Amino acid sequence: MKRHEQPTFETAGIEEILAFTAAYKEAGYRFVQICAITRETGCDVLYAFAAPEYPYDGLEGKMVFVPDGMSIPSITEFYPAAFVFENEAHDLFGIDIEGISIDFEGNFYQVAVAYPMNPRAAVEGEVDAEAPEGAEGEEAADE
Amino acid sequence: MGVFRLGGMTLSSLFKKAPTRRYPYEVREPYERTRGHVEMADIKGCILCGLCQKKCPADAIVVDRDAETWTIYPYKCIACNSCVKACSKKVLRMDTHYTAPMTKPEPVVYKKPPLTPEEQAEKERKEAERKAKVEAAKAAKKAKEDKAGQEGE
Amino acid sequence: MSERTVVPFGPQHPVLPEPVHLDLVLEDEKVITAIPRIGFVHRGLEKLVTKRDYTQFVFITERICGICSFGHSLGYVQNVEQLMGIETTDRAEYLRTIFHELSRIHSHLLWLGLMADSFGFEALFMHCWRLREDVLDIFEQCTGGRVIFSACDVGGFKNDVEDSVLKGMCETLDRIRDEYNSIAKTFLTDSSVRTRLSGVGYLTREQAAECSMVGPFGRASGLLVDDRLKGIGAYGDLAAFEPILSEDGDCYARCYVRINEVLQSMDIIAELVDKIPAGDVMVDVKGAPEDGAKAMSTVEQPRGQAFYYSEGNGTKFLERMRIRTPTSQNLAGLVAALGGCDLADVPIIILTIDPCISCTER
Repeated sequence: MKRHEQPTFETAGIEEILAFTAAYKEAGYRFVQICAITRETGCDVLYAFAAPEYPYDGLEGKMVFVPDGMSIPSITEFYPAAFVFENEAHDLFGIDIEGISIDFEGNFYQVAVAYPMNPRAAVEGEVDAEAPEGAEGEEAADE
Repeated sequence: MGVFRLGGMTLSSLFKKAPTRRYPYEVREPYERTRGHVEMADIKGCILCGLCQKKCPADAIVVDRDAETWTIYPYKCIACNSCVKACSKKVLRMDTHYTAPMTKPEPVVYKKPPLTPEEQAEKERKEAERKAKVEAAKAAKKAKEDKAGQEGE
Repeated sequence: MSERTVVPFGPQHPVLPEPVHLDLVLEDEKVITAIPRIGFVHRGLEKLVTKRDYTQFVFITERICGICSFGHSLGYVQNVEQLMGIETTDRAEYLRTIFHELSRIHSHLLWLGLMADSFGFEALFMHCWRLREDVLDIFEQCTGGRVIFSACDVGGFKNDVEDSVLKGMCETLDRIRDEYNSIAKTFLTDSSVRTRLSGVGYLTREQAAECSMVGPFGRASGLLVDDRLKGIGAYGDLAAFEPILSEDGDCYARCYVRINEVLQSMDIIAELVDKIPAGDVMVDVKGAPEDGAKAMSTVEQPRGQAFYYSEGNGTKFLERMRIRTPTSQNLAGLVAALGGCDLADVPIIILTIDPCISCTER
């Protein structure tokens, strides 16, 4: 019985984002998601794509390291469904993405604290990035 | 295409028994495995180890070793069964009835009763036995070491 | 040139199970475009991974959504097992799949009821939910909870179910099937239902592929996207599994796909109960995920493909847990489907994507 799939992880540079996205779109791959992970000096952005034919071994992931302050291009010209994830990455992690088809400019999630998942990106002096941790923890404990 | 396709079901439900129940006058018996609320079945058997507090994902249990109490906050508890499974003495029980409604969420506190004189005597006897065993083991070990030292020379 | 008005839809609306806001740009009664807005149920659950270790986090993933609760706990557990290289027993995989298919039946019955309610057919809504009660009773009998089961755990399935109880489950499903067939006939052939659903919210297969749609929403437009075909777990042991597709691409087709998926799930459960092997259901799990380990997996939930990504850092707290739900993927398709429809059709189209907004925002 096959229990696990075999995903592949590759790293890529910021300048390769549009190139690999165009290549996947040519090959008919389906777009799965974009997510961000906080690291020490920036964020890692993971793009995931799935092969068009079944059964496939696993998803293909591309990890792009984005240092603090750099901006990356949007892939909504190839895959329009990416606007949700790019807006979310901007609102929660503070990653600057240029050219999103429907750009909410920071108002998608209306969070009380700026960039809650990546406190380094918060504007200095305005908000205390540590404050709502207690509230969030309590809310989930009550669930 | 047609009309009144649900007519058959609608008409027959006029004559069938209603699928609803007149709660709270008629209460359904819960199933055996229903996760209702957590109770301390035997506070005397509890050794206040605190494993249940460590495993609880909702921070609903508080074990106080000095005051010898075990407290649960029923409105924080999510009835996940982790504490019942983790209990080292198996004194926790998952009851099948849900927590009763309250006007204010109050914790439920179980306090260990003080030991009766017989139990106190029993405890002291066991403690004395244990001490004697430890002394005997120490003496035996020392004797062995002395003997090995002598043979070595 | 007529004037354009902007009408706000939501976040509170009788058809919506969860709050979502849309700004509808209207010209007379036709919708030109819709701008979605989410964020009303955002609880920041992904940040909780730093406070609850990987065995306790199952309880949080279950509570992301009430309807897809089992699907999320299953996806999380499979992902962490891939991260740590654990293999569960065969019986646990079969039980997980059986309960996941039951969860699909309950979710589609819930959706059918909401769909009927959205065009005012309350009697049909009540009958669908009455049948769903039988499925919830099965859940309570086997796992102890009606909506939140707490049955999946890293390493297996917590509550073993005896074979006699499984046979009883199949008999209950057979009993529901007759009544379910009359409900299905009403949805598919009643003329009042047909006029509300046919031709509404039409999307071609090319548009579906362009918008990366998943789940029954995409399958109704003819797009072959069903992650059960990957054959992971007990899905690989099924004799023949074909996802249900439709070429029509409108709301009627989406109803048709979900109605037939319920019947297909009942057949899958009957087949798996016959084939289930004997044995243990839990494997001992010790230790923590390695530093730098990564895992990606998907699960075909009732609403579509859900994606899970986790990363370990050597402690018992995960470094990152990412859950991407099918509804957030379908938002682009929703905006495409709403273009050019009538204002009265807006609630029906929004319901046909099966919105589960609390999953979208976590």
